[in-house]
Amino acid sequence: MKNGKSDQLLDQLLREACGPVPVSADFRRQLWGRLMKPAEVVSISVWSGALAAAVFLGVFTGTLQSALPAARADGAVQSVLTRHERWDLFADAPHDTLAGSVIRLSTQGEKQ
Amino acid sequence: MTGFPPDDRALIEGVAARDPEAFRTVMEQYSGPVFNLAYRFLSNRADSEEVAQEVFLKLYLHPPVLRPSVKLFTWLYRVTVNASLDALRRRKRAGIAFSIDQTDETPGGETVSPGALLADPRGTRTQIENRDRLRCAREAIARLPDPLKAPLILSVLEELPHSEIAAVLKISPKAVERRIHRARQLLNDQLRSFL
Repeated sequence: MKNGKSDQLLDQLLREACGPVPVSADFRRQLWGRLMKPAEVVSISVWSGALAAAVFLGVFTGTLQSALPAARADGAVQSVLTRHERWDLFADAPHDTLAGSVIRLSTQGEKQ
Repeated sequence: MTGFPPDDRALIEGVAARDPEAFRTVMEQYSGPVFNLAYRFLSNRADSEEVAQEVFLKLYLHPPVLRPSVKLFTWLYRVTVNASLDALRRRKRAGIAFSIDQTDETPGGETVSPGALLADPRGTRTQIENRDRLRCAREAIARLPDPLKAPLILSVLEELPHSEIAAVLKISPKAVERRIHRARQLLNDQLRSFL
């Protein structure tokens, strides 16, 4: 069959062009070395991530805490509204901490 | 090509339990075939070694739970094919058309020295023509669309039966047959002068 013969010749050419290539001597050794290290790599990544998160939270918390007293002292923050509100995020937390942040709309500065 | 020993269920369970000795045995049996399968897609030693490492890393970190009817080499070949095709897509995105090794170890990649040409012009011309013929064949395979490339390589080069190819690629045996037929048509058109 013509197609069969031509397929055979094609297959022969392809097999000749793409014969097996020897695996390098180093390949298996490097592969084994890489496979036996994944636990270290994972733990380093986890610790780095935890450290980065801790630094970020610390900076964030410190920034907010320093901003709050400054905001309260700033007269412009005192509201012109006549209402007086207090918003405790955490009922029993001291007011000068992040947990006990207070948003106070006060007329104290505006009482006539 | 599937001259692999029958799956040893204890070995597969050892791999699943991340037993280093079981893993080493699997690596010794299959690292060559996995590397060569990747090489048939990528024609480049460095890329093929990278893919093979990726395959075994996946096996080690996320060992598959294989049903008794599924062979380990089927899973390894499937992951290798997918990883090789991904590598080819990355190359394409990077604008690299071919990255074919031209070294003495690749069939038809042997260098020809000027001295050899002078000493035996006819024989050396034949060697050069043969080298070009084989290089054209490898490039023709590289140009095949991905859905046709994998079935052709697994059938002609890995000599897997259609049923095994269907299991590796998760397509029907009929689809395997159609794709191989279409791949052969395209290759015949390109390589007619060499046949």
